[in-house]
Amino acid sequence: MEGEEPVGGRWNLDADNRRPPDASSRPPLLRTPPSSTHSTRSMRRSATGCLMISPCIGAPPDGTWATSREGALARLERFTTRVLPRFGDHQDAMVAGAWHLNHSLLSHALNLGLLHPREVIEAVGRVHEAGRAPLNAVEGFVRQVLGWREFLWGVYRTADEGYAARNALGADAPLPPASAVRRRPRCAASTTHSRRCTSTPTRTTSSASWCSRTSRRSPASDPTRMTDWMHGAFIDAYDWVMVPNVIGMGTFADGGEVATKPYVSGGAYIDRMSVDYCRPCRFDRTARTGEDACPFTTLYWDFLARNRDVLAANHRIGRAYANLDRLGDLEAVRSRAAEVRAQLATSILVEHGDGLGDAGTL
Amino acid sequence: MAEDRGLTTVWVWGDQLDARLAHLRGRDPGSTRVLMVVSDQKLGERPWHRQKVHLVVTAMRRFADRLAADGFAVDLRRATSMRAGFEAHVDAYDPSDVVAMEPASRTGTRTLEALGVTLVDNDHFLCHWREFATFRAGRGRTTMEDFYRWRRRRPGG
Repeated sequence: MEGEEPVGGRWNLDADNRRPPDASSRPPLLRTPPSSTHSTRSMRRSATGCLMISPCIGAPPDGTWATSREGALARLERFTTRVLPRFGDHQDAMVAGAWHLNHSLLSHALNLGLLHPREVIEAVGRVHEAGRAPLNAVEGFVRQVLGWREFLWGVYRTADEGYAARNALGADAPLPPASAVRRRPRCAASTTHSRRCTSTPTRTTSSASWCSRTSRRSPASDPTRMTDWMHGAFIDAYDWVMVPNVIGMGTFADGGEVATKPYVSGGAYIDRMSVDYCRPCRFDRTARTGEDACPFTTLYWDFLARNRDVLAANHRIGRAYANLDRLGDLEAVRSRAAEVRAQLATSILVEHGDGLGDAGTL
Repeated sequence: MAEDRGLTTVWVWGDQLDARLAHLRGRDPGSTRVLMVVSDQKLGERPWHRQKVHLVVTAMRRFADRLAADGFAVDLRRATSMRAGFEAHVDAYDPSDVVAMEPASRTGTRTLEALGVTLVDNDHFLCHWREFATFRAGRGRTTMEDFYRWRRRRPGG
C-alpha cells in the first residue's frame, strides 16, 4: 500500500491477467526424488502400515509435491525466481502440453502448514521491491493468498450448517465420466484429436492430483457429489477448501454468496483461454447445434435458458441473456443439449478417463 | 516411567505441520509430548488420490522426525479413528492436559470439542474466522474484492 491507495493505483489487475499464454519457455518442475526413508516403498512397509484401505485413484507419487519444510522452501524459491515474473499474464490459462504452466503449485504446502501465508506474501513482495516481478504478477498472486484463501475459509467457517448441501440451481447431473481417474493416464499424444478441454484436466488430475482452477468448474453436476470427489482427487483439497470452492465458486450452488456470477462458458472462451485445446478438436466451438457442435457451447446456452429465473437479474451475466434472446434457434439448441446430456450420462462423448479408479495399493 | 506421565500433550493434525503455529509456538520439548494420529476412518472415507495420501502421511512422518530431533517426545500412531487414537494415547501416557489448534474444518473442531481437548485459535490463516464474521456483520452482501481491499488496507498490506 501507498497511504490509502494500493501500489500502482489500482486494486484489481485481473484485466491484465486473463491473457492466453504463448508457447515460450516454461520453468521445469522441481521434483524431489523420494529419499530412502520416505519413499513409497518404505511407506508400504512402514510402522503406520498399509495406507490404502479403500479404493484409490491416480498415478503413484513422483516427487512433485513437497513433503517437508525444506522441500516447500525450495519450491517457493523456484516460484519467486522463475515463475512469478510471468504468473499474472497466464493466471487463467490452460495448455494441454504444459499442465503447470506458470502456476505456483504452492497450495499443497500452504494447506499442510509447510509454508505460512505470511511468509509467502512477504517473499513475493520482496521480489517486486527488487524489481524482479511486475505488479500484475505480484498483485495477482497476493490476491489469491491474502484474498481468496482467507475469504473462502471465512465463508466456510461462518456459513450456516446447511451450506455444504445447498443447490440453488437444482443441479442434479451425475458426475461426468471423466471424473473416474485412471491410474495410468494416457499420454498427451493420444489426445491429439479429441477434447483436450476435458482430457487435459482429467489427465493431470490422474498423473499429478492437480488441475488448474479454470478447469475445476462444473456447474451442471450435483454440487455435493462434486465437492466430495474433488476433495479426494486434488492434492490441495480439504473440506474448508472444497465446500466454498464448489458450492460457491464452481457450481454457484449458494446462489451467489461467494461468486458474483456462475463460471460457465462456451467453447469460444475455452479456445481463448487455451493455446491448443480447440484447434485439433473434432467439435466446432462456434456451432450450437448438430453433431459437430462443441458440447460446451451447446450446454452454455442451455444452462442460461434453464436458469433464467435465477440468473437473468445478475448484472454480470445480463449481457449473455441479451445474446440468448437474439438466438433464433434456441429450441434446436435445447434439444441438442438434451442429447449431449444423455450422451454424457452414457459416456459416449467421453473418450478418455473413463476407467474406474482401481482398487490397488499405494 | 513415572517421569513420562503427566506431560502436556499437543495433538497435531495432518494439516498443521508448522511449529511456529499456535499449538506448538513456545512449547518446551522437555514438558511436551506430541500426538499425531493416522486414522483408518479418514483413509477410508472416500477414494483418495494416491499422491495425496502419500503427501499427507509422509509430511506427517517427516514433521514427527523433525520434532523428535528438536527434543519432543512424539507419539505418531495409527488408529481406527481420530477418537480411538486419542483414547489410546491418553491410556498410554496419562497427559495432564491435551491441547490442539482448532482444526481448519468444522467437523474436526466438533470432534475435538466433544473429546474435551483444549483448543487454541487457528493462526494458520491471517484472518481468523471470528474477525471475518465481524467484518461481514452489518455489511450486507460482501464480495472477495471487498474483503481483499479491507485486508490490504491494514498495516503492512
